[in-house]
Amino acid sequence: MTDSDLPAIVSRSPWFKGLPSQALQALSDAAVQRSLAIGECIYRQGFPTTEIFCVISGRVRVSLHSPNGHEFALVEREPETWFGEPGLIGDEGRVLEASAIDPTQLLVIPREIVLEIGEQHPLMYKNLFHYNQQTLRSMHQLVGGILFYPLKARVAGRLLYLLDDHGQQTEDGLLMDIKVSQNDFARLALGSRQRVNKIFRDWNVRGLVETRHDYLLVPDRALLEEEISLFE
Amino acid sequence: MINISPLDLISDSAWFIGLPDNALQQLASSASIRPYARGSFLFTEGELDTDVYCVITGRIRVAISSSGGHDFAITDMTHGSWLGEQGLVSDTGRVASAEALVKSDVLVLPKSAMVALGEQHPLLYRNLLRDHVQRTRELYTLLGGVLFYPLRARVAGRLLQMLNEYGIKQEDALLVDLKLTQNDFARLALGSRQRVNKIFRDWSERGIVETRGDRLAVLNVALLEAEVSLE
Repeated sequence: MTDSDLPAIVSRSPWFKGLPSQALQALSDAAVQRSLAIGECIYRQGFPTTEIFCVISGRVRVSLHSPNGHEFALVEREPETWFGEPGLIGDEGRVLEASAIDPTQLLVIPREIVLEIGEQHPLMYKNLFHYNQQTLRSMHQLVGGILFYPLKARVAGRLLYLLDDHGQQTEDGLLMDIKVSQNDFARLALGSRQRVNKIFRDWNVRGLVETRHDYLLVPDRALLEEEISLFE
Repeated sequence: MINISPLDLISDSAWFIGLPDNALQQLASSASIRPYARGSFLFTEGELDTDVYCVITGRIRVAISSSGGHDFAITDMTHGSWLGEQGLVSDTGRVASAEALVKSDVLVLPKSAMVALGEQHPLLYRNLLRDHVQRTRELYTLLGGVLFYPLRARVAGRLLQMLNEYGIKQEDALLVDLKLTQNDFARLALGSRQRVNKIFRDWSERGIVETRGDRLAVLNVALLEAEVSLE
């Protein structure tokens, strides 16, 4: 990716939809690329951010951390996803943490430029409000899912969610095009690795999930959906 | 009927900061005030409702529920709190319910009036975004609390939050100026009523809390704070 590709990414952003071309140009001019290695942190819980970000390539995980080191992965940000909007509102520390889980390329714009554009074109805030609304909506669904469902249902729910974006239809079923370890699922569904491993072993025996060269294969999506039950 | 000016409520709201007076007057002219009986709903989960609301009197509980009938209270709203703005940009139904816990009066604004205001003054959306980012933070913090802390810490955390908002200083205690049952705390902290009752019995024996009439008094805030622990 070269810097000449940045204006196209900025112009496709749902945050800047409908803004005049000179505003998009100003944002693109201020944008820089940042490369992150696996595990590298973008922002930490408790610290404010003063930039906005868009994933150009790779994957970013956003998580909650407990004071004693437990991690709960909330969402994964994929290419063309924009984030960091709380930094536009104030200097309070972030309540979440974001890090790269694959080698990742980010587009980064300093907030002063974005705030300037917002002053000139308050339409930007309407876009941001729409976007944030969607985030809050998914958050409510996630809270409901985590609070009320047992671990097996949570793991199935997370796997189905990933299949929506990363499931490739093959002759044998839906094959994930990203590697997700059982450790990852433990973080995604807030369970212990041992219990998550046990769930996968059970699914394996029952033919719900197979592993093909490190990638998960789900032969029958409907069978996996049946695992989402409120009762153990 | 309650005697309050919609314009005063609107002018005091963080949602409308920086907008011109005439625009606020126009918005106020579309407002109505609705009484809600205890236990009635402003909206329910999944309902296609697009009005926005401001609590004038009483207390409104925002909650999400499971298909198995459990509910989890996200927050309780009182005088001057605004809610329902999701309906302005989404027509896929409410993600939470809002229930009057006591007899309440609520100001109601139709979506059309809010959207017209936003068209003329998009600054409205900056205010809404600010409010939203704050609420998203609170929801993440709440989620972290429920995920990582044991029930006792969650109940203590919710009680401390109530003290912050509704605490009245008395000679020997801080009194929560709200009628709250242990059932309420069970919903607020997502625990069973039995386990919450046990926690309150223990606190009562240790001189941390005491019931005074239908109110709860906290006799030792430091000890209550010490209950918010990961262990």
